[in-house]
Amino acid sequence: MKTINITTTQIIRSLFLVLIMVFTFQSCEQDLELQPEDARLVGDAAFEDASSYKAFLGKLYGGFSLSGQIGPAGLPDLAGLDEGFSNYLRLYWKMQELTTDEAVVGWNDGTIKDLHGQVWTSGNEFIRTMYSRIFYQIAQTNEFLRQTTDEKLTSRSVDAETKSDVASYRAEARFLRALSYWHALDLFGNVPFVTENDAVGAFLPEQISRADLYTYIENELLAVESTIVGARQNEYGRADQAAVWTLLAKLYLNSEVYTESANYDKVVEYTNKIINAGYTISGSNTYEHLFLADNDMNGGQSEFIFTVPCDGLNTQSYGAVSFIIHASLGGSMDPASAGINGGWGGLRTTSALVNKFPDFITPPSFDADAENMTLVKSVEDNNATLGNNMTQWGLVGSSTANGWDGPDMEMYELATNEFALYAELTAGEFKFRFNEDWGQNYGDDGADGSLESGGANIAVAEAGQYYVTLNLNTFEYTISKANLSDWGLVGSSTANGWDGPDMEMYETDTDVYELYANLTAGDIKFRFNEDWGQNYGGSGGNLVAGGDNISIAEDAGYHITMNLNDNSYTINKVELSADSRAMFYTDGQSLEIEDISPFSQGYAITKFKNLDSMGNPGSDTEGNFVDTDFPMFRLSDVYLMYAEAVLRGGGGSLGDAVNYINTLRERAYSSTVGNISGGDVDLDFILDERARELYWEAHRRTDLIRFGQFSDQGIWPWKGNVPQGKTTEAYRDLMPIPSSDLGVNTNLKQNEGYN
Amino acid sequence: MKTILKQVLFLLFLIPALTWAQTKVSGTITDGLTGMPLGGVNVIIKDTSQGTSSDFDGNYTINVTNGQTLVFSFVGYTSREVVYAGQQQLDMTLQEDADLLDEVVLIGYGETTQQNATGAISKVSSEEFNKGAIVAPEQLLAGKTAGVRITSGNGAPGSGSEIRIRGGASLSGNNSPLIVVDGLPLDQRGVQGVRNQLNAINPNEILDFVVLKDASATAIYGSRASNGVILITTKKGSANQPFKVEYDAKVSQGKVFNKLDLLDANQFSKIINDTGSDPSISGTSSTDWQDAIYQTALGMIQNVTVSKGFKNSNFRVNYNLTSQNGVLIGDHYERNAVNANYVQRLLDNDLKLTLTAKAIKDENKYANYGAIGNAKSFDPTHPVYNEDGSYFHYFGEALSPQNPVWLLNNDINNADNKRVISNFNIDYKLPFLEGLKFNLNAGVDYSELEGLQTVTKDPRLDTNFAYRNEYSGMNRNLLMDFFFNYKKDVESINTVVDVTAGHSFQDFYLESNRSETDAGVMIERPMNIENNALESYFARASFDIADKYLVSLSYRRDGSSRFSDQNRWGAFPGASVGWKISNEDFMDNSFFSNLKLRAGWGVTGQQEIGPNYGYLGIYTPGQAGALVQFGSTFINTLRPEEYDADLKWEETTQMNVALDFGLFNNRLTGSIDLYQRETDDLLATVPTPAGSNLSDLLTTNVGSMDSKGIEVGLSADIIDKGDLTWNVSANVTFEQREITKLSLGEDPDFFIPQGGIAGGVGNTIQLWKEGYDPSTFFVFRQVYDDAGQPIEGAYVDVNGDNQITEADKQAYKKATPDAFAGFTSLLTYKNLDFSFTFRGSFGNYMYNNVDSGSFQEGIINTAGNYYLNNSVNLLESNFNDAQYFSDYYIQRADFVKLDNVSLGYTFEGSKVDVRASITGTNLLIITDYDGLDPEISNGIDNNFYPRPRTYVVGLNFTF
Repeated sequence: MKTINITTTQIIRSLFLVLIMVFTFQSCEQDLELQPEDARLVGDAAFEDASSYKAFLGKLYGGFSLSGQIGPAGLPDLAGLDEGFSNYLRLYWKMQELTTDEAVVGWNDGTIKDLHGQVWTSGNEFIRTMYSRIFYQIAQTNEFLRQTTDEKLTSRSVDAETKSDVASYRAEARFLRALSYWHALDLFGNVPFVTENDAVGAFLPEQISRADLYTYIENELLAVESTIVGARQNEYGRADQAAVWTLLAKLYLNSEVYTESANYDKVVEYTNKIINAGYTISGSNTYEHLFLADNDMNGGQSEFIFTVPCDGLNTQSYGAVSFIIHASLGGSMDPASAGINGGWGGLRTTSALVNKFPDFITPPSFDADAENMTLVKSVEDNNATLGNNMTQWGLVGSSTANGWDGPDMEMYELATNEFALYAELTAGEFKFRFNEDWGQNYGDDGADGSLESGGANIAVAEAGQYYVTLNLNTFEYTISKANLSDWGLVGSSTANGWDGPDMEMYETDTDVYELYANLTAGDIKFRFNEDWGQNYGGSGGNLVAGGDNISIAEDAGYHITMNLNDNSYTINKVELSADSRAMFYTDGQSLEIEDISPFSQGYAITKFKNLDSMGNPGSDTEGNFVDTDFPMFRLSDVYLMYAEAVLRGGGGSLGDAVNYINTLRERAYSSTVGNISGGDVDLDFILDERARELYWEAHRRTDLIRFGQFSDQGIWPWKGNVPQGKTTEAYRDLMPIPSSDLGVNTNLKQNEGYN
Repeated sequence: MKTILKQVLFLLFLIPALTWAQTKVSGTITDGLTGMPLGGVNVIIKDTSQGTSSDFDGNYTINVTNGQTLVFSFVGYTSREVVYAGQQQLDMTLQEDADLLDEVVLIGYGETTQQNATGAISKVSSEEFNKGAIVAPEQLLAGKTAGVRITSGNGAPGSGSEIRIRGGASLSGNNSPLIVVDGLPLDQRGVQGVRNQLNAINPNEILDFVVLKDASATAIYGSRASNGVILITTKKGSANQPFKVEYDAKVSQGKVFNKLDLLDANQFSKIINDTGSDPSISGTSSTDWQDAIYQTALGMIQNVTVSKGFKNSNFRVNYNLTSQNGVLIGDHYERNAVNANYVQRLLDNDLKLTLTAKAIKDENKYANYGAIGNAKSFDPTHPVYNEDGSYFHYFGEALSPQNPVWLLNNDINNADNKRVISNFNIDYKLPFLEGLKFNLNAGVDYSELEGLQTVTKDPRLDTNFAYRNEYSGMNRNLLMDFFFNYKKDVESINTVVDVTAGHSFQDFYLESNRSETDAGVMIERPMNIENNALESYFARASFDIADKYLVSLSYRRDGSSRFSDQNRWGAFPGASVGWKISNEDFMDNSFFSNLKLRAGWGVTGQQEIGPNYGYLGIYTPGQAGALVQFGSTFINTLRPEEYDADLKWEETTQMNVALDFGLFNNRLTGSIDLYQRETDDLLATVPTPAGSNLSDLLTTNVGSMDSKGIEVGLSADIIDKGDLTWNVSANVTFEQREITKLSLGEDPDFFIPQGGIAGGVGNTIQLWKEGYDPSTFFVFRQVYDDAGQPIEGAYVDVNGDNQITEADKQAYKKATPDAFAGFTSLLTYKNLDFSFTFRGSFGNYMYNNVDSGSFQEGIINTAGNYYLNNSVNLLESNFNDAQYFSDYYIQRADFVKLDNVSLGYTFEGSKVDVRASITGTNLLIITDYDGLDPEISNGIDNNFYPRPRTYVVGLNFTF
């Protein structure tokens, strides 16, 4: 036994000795060259798929609308501030708007209130993050240009088609870099300068002077002018030649600020190029379309030169237009009226902007029909009162959303063979048919309200919401404006006088009737069914059956309500601007601001909405993120730039300038009442008109500086951090270089005036 | 069976003895307490070089001459001397040595004794541990040793703690110590989806902690050792031990004993009325929302342990069931764990195989902690439930606070983590050279996470959807290390030489997956995989010269996959010396029973920098919701990430000087350590020079930081009279940290804001700046009126420009303490034991973010039709608008806490011993701080999950 044991022991020993040897000598260096094994890629591997170039270009464009690699937040681009706050457009908007008369914010986030108070320092985190974001974008663009050189492409053996695509991408990338450098030039002046010739690292970039940067940007734009895709030829959302021209025009327009030498003739030259490129101003009363959820397709886009597209489902962030819409909603404002789920109660405007719309303060007239539409409940709400008995009888025709091809708008059965429907109809015609088939259909020969099988189309004169009934027992139908009632206004103040016909009121609740109407000074009464049998007069808001006439003091638009539940009435003058660009929300808001924090102080602005032109909310059914694209460059701006350059002696035609301005004003007023003539146009007018046309579109700070009104001249509420406003130091025309960058980059010198 | 080598050695010892006529004597050496045989006992004939050692069965044989003295000595036991009087059989019992100086302490890749240790090393054994229903093992240590600060994260069940040894050496790198469990270094980043990665180690199964504090001790762990190392050894069975069953049960009850002082319904309504706000938004109820979300938390811990030892093997198996409710309704932690180990000895004990395995299933039900903040801010005039039994909500108000009770009952987040930590160790005395040993360690730490969160559709809004979030993950940490150790007493130079050299390779791998709904649609997020590896060579040589002078040198070379080829390898040397003064002849009659002076120096590193591939340029594809519209299609994006190709190790150099002493026959022992530490090439996440890199912040090597401190530890056996013993121990630590360089530039005013607070996005309250502690606050200096009332908005205009801007903010106070201390008392009388632990912290300040959120506009001026409640501080400050940056809210947060008091009694039976105990934890807090708890690790008090006061009843049965 002993011998065996020893043998076993020896075997074990030998085995262990071998094992030890193995471990000892196997310990040559293990591979420590580890690379990501998930979707992240390193170096050339990232570009094996040719679509990577476009994806990378997409990142450069997304640099304005997104804040990271996951929407709405996640894998942030910047780490120095909350991701949502770090979005490019959100910051740029704050720099350009909060510092001016156009916007204040009530929040307590860091030093955000210092922006409007113009008491910012080089430690302001919003200024810092704007600066970081600009240089982030520039660094990304530089990396794109490094990764797409001919040399790189050749070494990766990309095909000819990709090569030619990439050449276009490079032109766009250089435009985008020029755009960001322009923001740097405009905001910060003398900034660190890096191009694709600098490697990525921890080096200290050199500072470039404002004038040199101006020249660099100009040369870059001129260099890509001919290689970038022609005006209006690129995909929506991407830059083209007109975007390059617009940026050049902006550069030249502000040349005196940037370089102390004027260049207005170039402004005229380049604005003319853009104006002649085929962009158009949309039709009358469509100004608000430019800022709606479908502004990439509702007609408004016909004047867009360069946009930052947003999308409620695909391009989500807490910045860009989602920020503008959420942050500007608060108080008694209904989130649904902006197509979102709730406001953030922050942004309002000062009286200085409101006062630029004198006819908002004393409105001359208003569009009663349009306002009356707001008294009608939504189609869905109205149809909900009809029960849920959907049938195969429906409306078809050019008045319906789907036109003559259907599918038809199905009606509800109220009783045997009796059908009804509330429907949004446009001007046009319709018929009734069964089961989307012409086999059984009814029209109306002679327009007499009785139906004929296969009869004539039924005409709808104007767009609106209608209540349509169909009675197949009596073969009659009715079509009436939704919830118009038999109660009406009659009297000397109404258009038809005491004889009627009366102005019919809308039933907005049980026994509650409302109407918007233009009335003249005189008297009115309420009566039923155009008959004195049932009528009300009264005074002091109390209805009295058969009572005294109610007097109307002056010619104006009014909102009239009568409530038969408690026999009361109200008649309120309605203050609406004829200039449809004045989109202020005043209910519960004060015009003047005593304290910036409460949302109730200062008028709110409803310019941007996440509703489409049909009034439907955007694609994010949760109402968090909006579809509304941000028009960074649009033709209206170019028109006004042209006019300004003409006035500043850049040549061109004052007549053209006036025409351009009137084009804008005709859209705004839906008529020529707002038109101006050559004598009305001077530089002050241009500055104000730019405010009226372009407010909240991130132009204001640059404009005020160009007109010398930003700092040591020009006063608006809370400028200088006092309620009445005061002038500030001239050096604030430039933002400070953030102290954090001065701290790390010893090549930098602070802008004059700042510590 | 004797090995050939032993025979040879035996012969070597024998040769000089052959000159006398000698008798052969044999015997068995046993443990005086357990009666178990003791192997490896040295049996030496005094004043000769002859000797042997007992075999595994405790048997020895030696030739000895009458009248010679036999010395029996064994580490950890009191030596005994016997004059040989001719017997053939001489059995011997040895008593375990109460003297800790001979106690073995682990050091990295080896062991030493307390008296030979030259580094700053503390051992905390199970008898010293904190008592109570402790789930997180690090809590056993809190207050027990100088230089170690353990701050539990919050009061959540199973929550982890921030462990700081000497304050942490880094800024943006990891500041937690490396934790080595039975030889396996854990991933410093932890594993996914658990509340505390150390919960994988059952506190019941921990034999002891060894804390390596200074660099001379930790340098052997190289690049992960800057923040100290904690070695955890779990209990093993022992040889020849009868079958033993132990059952232990603890039942606990925890309660919130301190709530936030919020405005009650009356005070709240008064503000609404006084400010002329619309009263219709408020209600008429009177609700204490905090009462509505907190509950009495029950918990229990059960342990069943069986163990047995055979001649050549032994095993121990423990099963643990821990189940704890949180004081926050719905918060729950459950642990099912098995800890098993098996030791097999072969080849005459020359080969020892140890297998330890821990299998843990952690089940967590995470309550939504947002409920704590919501309970703070919910209008107290509204009820929890409407009259019809439905929850009260602000309909249509997206930004209103969610009813916290609804939140707790409708945001359900459960995660299971299954984890195995296993280690296989081979310890082999090589046959060809006495004293040469080979040790191999193969370890794995593998865990899998499976979690599901479901949130009911938000009842406040019509438009939103229910949320579902399925997540899973895997962590794998593989270790293979081995070393050779050679220990020899070189008598010619009267020196014991102990040399170790080895190699280690460790690989860390993790995967995580997530699928979640976005607007009701399930989206699968891309898998995230992280992988990094560390390869190391290490060596150490220790010399014990004449039992008086100690020298230890160590060296480690680490290669990390996180750095480029050029910067990959770092060298981390350590050196220490010790002088056992009490062993000097001139100390023979001293009242010092022990006196040792030691000094150490070492360099350690840091590679836990966050990103794994920080030196590589990586491209990250975009995901859902982050697409860009080109034409009518949406394309995904590709983003290049920032990188620093030159990223390299953070290096920490530390010096330590210390004195260990024992008085009155070691009834009073203690040590004083002084240290100074300097971290260079500090890894900090700092602003990049704009334009130079691909993000605004970059983790890179920019700065340096100094820290220094004094640590004093004392332990006294005040009474030691058989039945009655009373031991007290105390420790106190003074420490100071200062950033000495922070950027590539020279601007002395440069700082980096830190410490985000609640109340406004981007608001920070702390800063990193040269010359300051990294937890320093950065505030306006409040101006007070004659009555001592703060004047709203009035601050000291530091730069004299007549306006208050953030240029007027000043560095002021800090969150970390200047000093902290622990005090433990342990009294036993017969079968009764009584212990308690105090812990204190001094010179630390807190930013009271609860109070700073309390101002009138914050209550009435909200983003919608609702009001927000806050603390009663508003009634004192009378602030109308937010004054977040006022130093009014920087409050002194010194504290002394009575962490635990425990009383136990052991009933000794013939078959069963029963110990019953009762423990109270978190019993008393002495502090001036106004807020909920003065002990919050980052110094910002906001929505803190309260630590409950807990009473525990425990029963332990040993069969």
